[in-house]
Amino acid sequence: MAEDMAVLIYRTALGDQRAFDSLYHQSSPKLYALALMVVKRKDLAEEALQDAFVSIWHSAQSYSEDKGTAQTWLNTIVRNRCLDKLRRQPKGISELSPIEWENLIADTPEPLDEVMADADAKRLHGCLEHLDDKQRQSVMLAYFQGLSHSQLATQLSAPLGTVKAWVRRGLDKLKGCLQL
Amino acid sequence: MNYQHPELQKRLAAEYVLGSLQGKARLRFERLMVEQPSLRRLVFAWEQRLAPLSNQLKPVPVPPAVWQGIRQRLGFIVVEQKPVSKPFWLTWMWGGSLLASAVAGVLVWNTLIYQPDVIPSYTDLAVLSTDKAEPTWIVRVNADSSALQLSSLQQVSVASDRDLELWAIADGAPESLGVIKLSQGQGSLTFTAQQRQRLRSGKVLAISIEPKGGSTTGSPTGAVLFTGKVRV
Repeated sequence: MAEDMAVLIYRTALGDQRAFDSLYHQSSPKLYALALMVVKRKDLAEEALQDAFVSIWHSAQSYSEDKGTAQTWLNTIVRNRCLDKLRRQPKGISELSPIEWENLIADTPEPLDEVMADADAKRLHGCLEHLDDKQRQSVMLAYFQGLSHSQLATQLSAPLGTVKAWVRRGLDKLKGCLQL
Repeated sequence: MNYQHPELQKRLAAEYVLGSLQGKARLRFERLMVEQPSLRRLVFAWEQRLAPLSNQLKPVPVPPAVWQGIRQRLGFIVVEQKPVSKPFWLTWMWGGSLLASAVAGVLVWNTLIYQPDVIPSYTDLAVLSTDKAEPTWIVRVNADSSALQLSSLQQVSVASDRDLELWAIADGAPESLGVIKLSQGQGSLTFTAQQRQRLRSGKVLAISIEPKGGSTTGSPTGAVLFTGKVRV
């Protein structure tokens, strides 16, 4: 039975090593998947995950539930660490084929206790379907690879202005769909 | 560009979270975010919208070495040192005891006769992080808790009409420890007797952004940017 991750974070803030241990073992497989998705290299993903958990131990007191779900907080920390690592790579790492991300999306049914947390994900996924292919690709590439407009233009072989419009319209559509 | 334009703010916040806002524009946006709560709210909303993207990834088993590494870095486990065979230079040095005593002589001279200015020693007191758990400041305190040093781990930029103020939180409201004097990524503070007492009873330290000269109300008036537990 999975423990409530928010509670584990609060206990970690009080210096509870066992809570930190549970938090790590419960959350790390998904966070590692996210790190791999972003940096595309095992060594960098492992490094980013380590950095993230070292700072989670030190700053767990900065989390509160009004900042969103525990999973979202952890995701943001890991993704930011990964994007930092990518930006420090001399040439960046960009071996991603635009459809690769789709293969990483889970299609297996989630255990019951994860359904609540994943309701948001399903909703977002549903909204992504409303985007044109190019808009969706641009949004996903920017999110998971931290690509700038000009890097997106290179990756998708399209003019800069076009790519900017894809990103912008994609985000507008997402926001509109999620507000419904 | 007029950064006060609501439509532009919304777009920049979205692209900041998405990751496509980069380079100087990204840094400029981060500086503005420190100043403007409305921008932080927009960013927060986008983080909530997009974070579920990561929740649908298939979990991947993590190599056990990662957890070991985390525990080592946090000092939970002590790395066992392999017994080392005596290095060659040790034998060599003790063999050359004349040389050794000459070296010792120099050390004695250095410590007893030639006394440089006394360097005050500081010990680690806290690591202050952003609300995204990015460690940003290492806070060190001197032996009699009359002064603090802050070393920044990331670039921190403060507008010229603003100051960073340090606060100690014990059980109730934050109490000011004064305005941080910043110079080249380093901060310093010296304390009055009252502030020293506040520091001693503080459990959490926090830094807020304030008008030049610090808060005039006795409480933080600007955003709290960094917080961290005081090490016992």
